[in-house]
Amino acid sequence: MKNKFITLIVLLFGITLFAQQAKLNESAPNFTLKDSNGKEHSLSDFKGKIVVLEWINYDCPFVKKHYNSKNMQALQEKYTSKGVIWLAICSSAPGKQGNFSADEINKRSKDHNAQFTAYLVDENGKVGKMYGAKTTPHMFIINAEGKLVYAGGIDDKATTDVDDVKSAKNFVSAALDELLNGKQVTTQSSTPYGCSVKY
Amino acid sequence: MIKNLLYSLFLFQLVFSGFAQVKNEPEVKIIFDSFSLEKSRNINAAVVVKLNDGWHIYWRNPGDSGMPTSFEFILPENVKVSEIKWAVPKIFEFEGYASYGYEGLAVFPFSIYIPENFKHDEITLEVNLKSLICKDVCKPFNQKISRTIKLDEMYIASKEDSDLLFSAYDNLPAANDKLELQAKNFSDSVVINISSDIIKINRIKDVHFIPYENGIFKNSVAQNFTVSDSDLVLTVEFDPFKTKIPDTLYGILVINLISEEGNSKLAFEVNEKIQ
Repeated sequence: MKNKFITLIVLLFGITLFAQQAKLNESAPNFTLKDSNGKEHSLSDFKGKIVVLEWINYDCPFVKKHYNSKNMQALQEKYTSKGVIWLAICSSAPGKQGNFSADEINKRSKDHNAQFTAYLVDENGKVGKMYGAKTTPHMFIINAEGKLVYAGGIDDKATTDVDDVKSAKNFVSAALDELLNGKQVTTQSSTPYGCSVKY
Repeated sequence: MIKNLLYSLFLFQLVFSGFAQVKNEPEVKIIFDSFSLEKSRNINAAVVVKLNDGWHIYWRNPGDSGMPTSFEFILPENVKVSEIKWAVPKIFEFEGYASYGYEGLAVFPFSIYIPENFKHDEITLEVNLKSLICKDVCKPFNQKISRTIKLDEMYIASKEDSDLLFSAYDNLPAANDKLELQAKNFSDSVVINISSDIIKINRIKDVHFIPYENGIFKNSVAQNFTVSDSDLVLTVEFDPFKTKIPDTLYGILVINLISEEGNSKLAFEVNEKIQ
């Protein structure tokens, strides 16, 4: 009897985990995280809106490339001004690179003039693993119907070179433009590049 | 096995002694194998990167994170250089994700072709190395290196350089002339059926497919397989966000064999149509 109960618990746990894996063209798994000011945000709060998830680690050279070039901030500003919700998520575990105090996050975000909607803290990596976030940056886009419609890199230049930003094909920008124009996303996935997420 | 390990350690020690030590930065140099242009216009060479403890540099496909190591050659007119030959990488695991690369001494062999009409008595080879090196954190490692070598006489490589090149070539994946492969596409994986008249399949202890292209297959430390007396069936899962459905299986197949003499590792380059 005891064994049957344990098997049931394991099965249910497995099914729950399986159900929570993000998949293209399926409902994006909901989550609730606190931002760097202690305010809770759930994905479900943004029902009816396009949401961008950006995995972040301010000390990763690939993230630095996109923030030092102001590329990321320009995208954040352009699309949040059009009603897109932009959530930066940090899944760095305590003691690992990219895990900062709230004050440090806010200072760095201000220094970079970051224009995201919120910087969410995912210290136990649960949300990162649910979405299969491998790198920083790793980008995901959820459409207004709540479906995951893009997963991958920010662009096609897998380098740390700031100069490459100008000539790169930006997948996030292309997908958001299509969504905002009522079209389907043409390129739904690309290979993400960057540092490993410091789970 | 122990003999190979001791030999590697010996090589490592020898080559380390040939580098200038700069704290926390890898050292890079170009090495040449012995040559005489009278005998052959091709020269075997390599870029060698000596990494500090715990750091690694990436293979042509970095896997789930990192950046491919790349080389830009600046050559005198009419001199040609081959593609870099990529040794079998080590798999680095982190939280269920996997990257491919090298640690310790990373050797990137290539060959140079000097044409008959090249009249200079020396050649300067310049290489721009672009890479990312990682430990618990990552940093870009870009370096321009050059080496000039005389061509008017027979060049005799040092034993260290010669051994290092021999070892590097020995660790390249071989053309597949021993395995019969059949790859079939399923919705979430490619299933590879491996048989052979040359290798005893039931002596395969472990097998792993490492793709040349990123973003198609799930990168992982372990891949599921079953072995019978006649064949081995390896399942390579697709990445949940795969960028395309492949029509060929392109990469390397690494096999660990057990026999009375001990364990041995074989690696074959595969380029197989997927049915």
